[in-house]
Amino acid sequence: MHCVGFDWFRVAWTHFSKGWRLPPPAEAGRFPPPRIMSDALQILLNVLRQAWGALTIFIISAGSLAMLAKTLTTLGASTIGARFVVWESLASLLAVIVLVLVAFVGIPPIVRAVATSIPGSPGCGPITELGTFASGLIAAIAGVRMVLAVARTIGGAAIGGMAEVSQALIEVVEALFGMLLAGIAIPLVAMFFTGGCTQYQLPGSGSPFWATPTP
Amino acid sequence: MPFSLISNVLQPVLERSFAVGLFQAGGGGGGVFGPILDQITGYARDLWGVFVGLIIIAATLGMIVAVLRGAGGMLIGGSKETTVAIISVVGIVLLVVVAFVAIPQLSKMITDLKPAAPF
Repeated sequence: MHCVGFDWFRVAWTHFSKGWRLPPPAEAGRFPPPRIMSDALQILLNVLRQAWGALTIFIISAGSLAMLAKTLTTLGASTIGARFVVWESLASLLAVIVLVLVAFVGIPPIVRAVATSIPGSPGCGPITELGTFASGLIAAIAGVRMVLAVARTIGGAAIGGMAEVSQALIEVVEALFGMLLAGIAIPLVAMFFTGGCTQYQLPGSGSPFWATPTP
Repeated sequence: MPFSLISNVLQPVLERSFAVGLFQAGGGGGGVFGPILDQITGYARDLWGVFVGLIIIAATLGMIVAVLRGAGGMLIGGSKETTVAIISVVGIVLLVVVAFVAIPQLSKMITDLKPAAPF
């Protein structure tokens, strides 16, 4: 008995599809793996960049008002003939200008140097991504904290308080230490305990020298 | 006469200082910190006005005191006193010029130096 086959379907498909073909299977290169940590780092860095901008505008406002206040002090002191107060006010005026210049000219190269001073994180896998994430975040937070320290110093100088510029340099050392820990030390320790990172290697990408596959 | 001179001289300088002043350009813009920054800039603008007013008052009073001292010195024949009074007037005028011309220019220079985030 001749069974009814599916030739009618092939004939109909050939007739109506006008030669359409199904798309080829997706290549791996077309869909790179999602970089969640990198995207999250960019979002956090954007917030910190906005904080940086806000602090610089605050520094400009506080510096301008401090200069005007010191001029007013100088004017009042010269009116009543207080010679030492005049010299003190003029010195404070110059100090405010120098502090603003330090904040705007000196701090960005330091932050840039700190952010680029740590080499690429060793190893692979989530620990390395976390290390890179933490390293970048620590550098950005250190930059914002340095500007915050200078802003606090300018605010203090405006009202005759103490200068705390050294706090900004302490922030640099703390940031370097934290970046070394997060970017290099912790991934190395993780590699030591997990026995290398061959399980994260893509085929054909090669193995780093420290990740010799264990037999 | 000194009062009219002071007002005639200071008024255009004051207007110019406000025209080129730092806070004329507006607040801090958008972003997460935009509303807070707008508040801070508003307070700074108010403080700038207060300081400008106080400087005018202090300069006026200082010049009156110096003129009075110079007049008294002239009355009793104290040439040194008169010289000091004239120097005081010149110093006060210089300080007012610094406050109303130099400081806005310095603020503009600082604003132009404002760095972008280095990270």
